[in-house]
Parts: sequence; C-alpha cells; structure tokens
Amino acid sequence: MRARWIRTGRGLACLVLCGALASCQRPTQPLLPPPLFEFQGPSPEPLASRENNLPAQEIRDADTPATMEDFERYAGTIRILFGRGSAELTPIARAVLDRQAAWLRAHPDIRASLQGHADELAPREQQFALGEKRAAAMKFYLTARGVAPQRLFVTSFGRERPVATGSDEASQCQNRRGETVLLGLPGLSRP
Amino acid sequence: MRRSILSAVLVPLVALASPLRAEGPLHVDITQGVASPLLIAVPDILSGSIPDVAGGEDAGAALAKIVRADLVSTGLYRLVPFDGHYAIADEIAFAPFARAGAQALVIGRARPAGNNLLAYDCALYDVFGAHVEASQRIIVATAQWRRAAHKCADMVFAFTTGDPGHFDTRMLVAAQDGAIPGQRTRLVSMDYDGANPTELTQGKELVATPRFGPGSRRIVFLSYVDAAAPRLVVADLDSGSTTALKLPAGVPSAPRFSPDGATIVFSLAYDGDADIYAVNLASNSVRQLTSGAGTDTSPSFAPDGSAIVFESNRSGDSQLYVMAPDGSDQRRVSFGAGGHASPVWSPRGDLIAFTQIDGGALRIGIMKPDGSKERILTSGSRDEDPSWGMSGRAIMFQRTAAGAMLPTIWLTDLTGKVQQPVATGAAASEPAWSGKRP
Repeated sequence: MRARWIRTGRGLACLVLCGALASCQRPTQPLLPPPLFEFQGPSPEPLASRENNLPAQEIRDADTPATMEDFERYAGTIRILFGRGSAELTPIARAVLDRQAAWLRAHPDIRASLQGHADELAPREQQFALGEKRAAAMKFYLTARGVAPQRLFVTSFGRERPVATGSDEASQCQNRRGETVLLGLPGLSRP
Repeated sequence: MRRSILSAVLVPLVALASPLRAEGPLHVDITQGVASPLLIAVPDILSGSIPDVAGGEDAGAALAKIVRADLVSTGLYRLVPFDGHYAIADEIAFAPFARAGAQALVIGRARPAGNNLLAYDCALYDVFGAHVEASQRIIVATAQWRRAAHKCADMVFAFTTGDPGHFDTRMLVAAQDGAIPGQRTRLVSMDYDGANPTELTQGKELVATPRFGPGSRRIVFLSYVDAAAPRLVVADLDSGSTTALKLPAGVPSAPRFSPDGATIVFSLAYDGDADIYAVNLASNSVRQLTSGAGTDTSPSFAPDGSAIVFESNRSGDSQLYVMAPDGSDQRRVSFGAGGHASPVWSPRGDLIAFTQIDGGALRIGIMKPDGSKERILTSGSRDEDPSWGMSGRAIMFQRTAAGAMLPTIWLTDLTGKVQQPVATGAAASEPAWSGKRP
C-alpha cells in the first residue's frame, strides 16, 4: 500500500491509502454507471505493472500444509480493490488473481469462496448485485487462468460487511473489494 | 401464541356511526397538507397503579402519554396543553377544553379487568358539538399494556382521517453492536415506537433486508448462516419456524412479499447480472420476471397486486420502473433529478417512496406511481431504506448522520416537516414496518 496526498475538487487534501485506483483520486465524482465487465476474458496486458513489486515467491513443496496463511503469503493478499460502481479488474487486481490462480492450481483439492463487497455510498439493494458482479468477474478470471469453475463459489455481501467506515473516499474505496476465502481446509472453521 | 387470545378483544362501547370515514367537524383533510392540524386534548385520567402496567406508574397517565406521542408523531394533530388531571370517576366538562381551543378531546380510562387483563375505555369527543364521536373498550393482557394506548390512538386516527392507524404495529430492524457496521447483526422486532424489543436471531450470522409479509406474522430476510451461499429465509414469528427458500443458483437479495402473501419477489444476481424473480411459496415454483443487462432489484408490489415497481440501471443510472406482475409492460416512471432506488409502494396505492441518489447524498422521496408530483422529504446526508406505515401516512427510514458510523431509525410524515428518531436502543438499520397486528 502506498500513501499519497491528493487534492480533491473541494480543495481538501485527502490521504488516500487505496493504491493506484483512479476512482480513489477523485473523491467528489458522481456515481457513474458500472461499466460492463468483459466476457472475452483477461486482457493480454503485461502483468508486471509498476505496483506489482511483490517478490516472486515459490509455491512450497507438497509437505507445506495448505493454509489460508500460505495462500496469502504466496498471493500477497486475498483482497483486490475495484473502482466506484465498477466490476472491472484493474491490472493490480489481475496480478493478484494470477498468483491466487497459481496457488489454487497447485492445490486442486481446495475450493474457494469469492466474496464481493461494495461501498456504503449507494443504496443497499443494488450493492448486493454489484458485489456479485465483482465476485463473478473474479471467478471468470480465475477460471480463465486454469482453476476449475466447480471449485469457485461466488457470493456477495453487498455493503453489509465494510472494512472501513466513514463517508470519506479514503475509507469507502477500501470497501469496494473482492476477497478469496479458501474452503475445505482441514481444521478451518467456516468463513 | 398466547397473545392471539388475550390481546385484541375489542368491544365497541358506543356503536360507531360510520366505521372509518367521517365528514364531520373532526375530519382531518390530509390532501391539504398539515396547514391546520386538528387541535386535540388528551388529558391524564389517573387510574392509580395497576400491576404489570407501566412499571408501577399511574397507568392512566402512562397510557395518555403514549396516545399523545402517537398522535403528535403524524403531524396531523396539535396537542392543546392541559394542566392538571382527572380521577377516573370524575365527570369531565367540555368547557375548559373549548376555552383552550381544543376541537377534539380523547378520554381514556384504565382499569384492571382481572386475570392479568387491562381494560382501557377510549373515547373521542367533539368538543364544540359536545358529543362522543367514537369509543372502544380495549382489553389487553397487562404485559401488552402499551397496545391499549396504540389502539386508542388508532381509533382516533381512523375516525379523523378515514385511514387505518399505524400505531399498533411492529417494526423489524437489523440491530448491531460495536462501532463498525456488520458486527453481530441480529434481527430485532419491536413496537413501531421502539418499545418491547424481541431478538429474533442471536447475532451469530449476518442478516439483511428484513421485510414483513401482510400483517405482522410472517417475515422474510437474507441470512448468511452459510457465508458462501446467502439464503432467503421465511420465518413465522408465531410458531418460530423458519424455511430457507430453494432458489436457482445466484445471490438473492431485496425480497418482498406480494400483498396476498403467496409470492415473494426478489432480485437474483448470477454471473454479473441481476434480474427480478418471483417464487410461489406454496409450490416453490420460480419465475423470472426481468432479463437483460443491467441490475434489476428492489421489487415492490402495488397493494392491489396489479403491478410491481422496481429499480434498474438499464438506462445508465438507477431509476424506477413499473411492470405487470408477470414481467410484461416494463416502463420507466422516475424522471426527477438524480438517481432513484429502493422503491416501496404505499399501502394506500397512491404513492411510491424511494431513495434519491443525489451525488453522494441519499434522501427519502415520494412520487405518484406514474412518476409525477415527486417530492424529497428529508435532507440528511444518508437517508435510505424507506418503509411505509399501514396508514400510508408515515414512512420509517434509516438515517446515517454526517460523520456517524452507524445508522439510526427515523419516522417522517409525508410533508417532511415532522420527523423524529425512533428509540431503538442499539444502532439499527433497515426498518421494516408491519401491517395490522392480530
């Protein structure tokens, strides 16, 4: 995560902690209609974007138990972020999902719950649909990266489980997220 | 449960000349707004303490206080202050109330009725005509003593407006602990004014979008018992039984009962597309009502079952559409400023309440079903989730104050001039207002 100071349209300085999402840089922009997400599959742009500077890590050998910690260590994060009202995967999100897909391919017995979340700035009901749209985009991408679709379970929490509150953009942009939670791990309680 | 026998025994003391509609001097003409609310006096008639009523306070005074709060919350009545009180056996003269300017007078006399029952004789008088307009003997279990006052206020409201009162009703909210939304959320039912809360779920799982069926007995809500697969759950509050609906693959949300209670309409999101479906509760047959790109959600039936209003972003931003119950004849009805979301059809059928999206702000508004006469009622920064009272004359909604983390529940009249918070105790969201209680 990088921190940077942004000048908003109202002339306020706002600390943005959400990485390089363009929407986070314009806190006062009106709600735009969500772009249609691409059904033609992942775009071929280079995955090693500037922000993608996590050191490449090896998937450990078969003796390493499959745990949420090992998944998170390898993928860097279980969480990806989206733009406001959008279910489009950013280059950073794609890079994270690439690593998640690699780990999931190496652990074919593990299933995953893809959990879409939305911010608190729009009415409740439509945010359930937006969360599902985000999680469906994750599933589509992971499937294209070689993870069997039967192993992936799409769900949406709408705006009911925010990680950050406060009506400011710096808080709300962290809620526009998708999380990959592993299922079927030995000794793991339900997510 | 027990209360079905004990609660609502209503014996008319004096025959009501006309059941609801009154054209006499005590009629409140709501179509003209609240420019001239009815001047009404509700004096304390002391009854002394009655066991299990009002925590040992004077029962008559406690009941009169609730009647006054009910009536004032509508904006249709202005209380004429009356210093002093009467004893239960006193004869009450009209003259002091006429001098104070009261047009209407409500006299409630509370007595123990034996066997843990409370009798409340509630009468509405025309002060200038000096005669009784309506009266009821209300008998309730002492544990439900507040309902006696609500029923008395309902009688006054019904006689003076021609619409059924919304005071003897329940409300569902998603209550929660902690400082951040989504922590230990639980479904709580309570009287419409926040009294008598009952926890329906224990806070182990996330719950959302509770709604009442017709009346106050059945509810439907979204339950995350299995976080990977949220389900719509129908619960019977009398028997305590719950049923998870069997639905096609996808994430369901925004359920709402049909007026006859036989069907639930909801939004089902699957593969990035959300459409409106209907499930018949008897046959469990599921029917898709909308299709195509865009998010279709928040369906709500007209009270006569002839149409469904819903929200869709098919035109770019969120707007309201109306369709036939089979999904045909879809047409956009909202054309006012900003986006429109979360529509709810009034129980009277004459209005649709909605959440207006104006930049970053959310506000409660109402419009006619054809989209005309749109009015925004609230001016908070995040006011949303409107729910109608059964009178069609009041709306409950959720307000998150600027800078606040957690929402509270508010009540507004249809002018937006009379707004007040509802005392729900803990933080609460997503109010759902019941219909008539048994």
